[in-house]
Amino acid sequence: MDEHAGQYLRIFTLLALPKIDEILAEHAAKPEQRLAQRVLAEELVSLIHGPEVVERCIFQTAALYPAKTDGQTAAYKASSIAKAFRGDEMMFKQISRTAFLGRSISRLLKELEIVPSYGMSYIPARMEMSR
Amino acid sequence: MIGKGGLYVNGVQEKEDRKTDENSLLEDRIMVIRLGKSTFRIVEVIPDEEEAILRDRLAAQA
Repeated sequence: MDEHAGQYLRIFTLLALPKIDEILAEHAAKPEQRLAQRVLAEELVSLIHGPEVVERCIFQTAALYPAKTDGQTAAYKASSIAKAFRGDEMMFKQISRTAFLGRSISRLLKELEIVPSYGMSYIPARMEMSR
Repeated sequence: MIGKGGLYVNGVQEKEDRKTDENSLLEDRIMVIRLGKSTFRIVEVIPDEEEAILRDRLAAQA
């Protein structure tokens, strides 16, 4: 992807060529930041879905991939996550406290229609199904 | 549908099918579920009274 980033930016975006050169120069200096890929993704989503969707995607991504605080783990912040996804019917599910507590994870995933069957709950096979 | 990356709840991989409790929630209301590498679902736990109000409103709209 790295080697194609410039090519794709020129083909699939409406950015001016000098601007693309600028982005690629910055990308080459710090490839780990994946600037070219991020710009490409943002430009494409903006062209197809509109700039407001880009903003929402960036916000959601920041909520789901928080900065690592101690070099090991990233801390999720519930309020940011709720704000980022509220209204997104596919991503955001609600359940009452009574229905949630004491429920097995596999059953919860099935009942919220996150997975189509208990067997697809993605927990290793040795689990005990507690239905 | 689901890949080989495992199931993660609030960033921690689930090794067995445990039951949910208060500790399963962030700030007492949110559970972040990740299936595989990048499929996320967010679960919000709402108070029972609030859930009853929402249910009544939906019923009234129907």
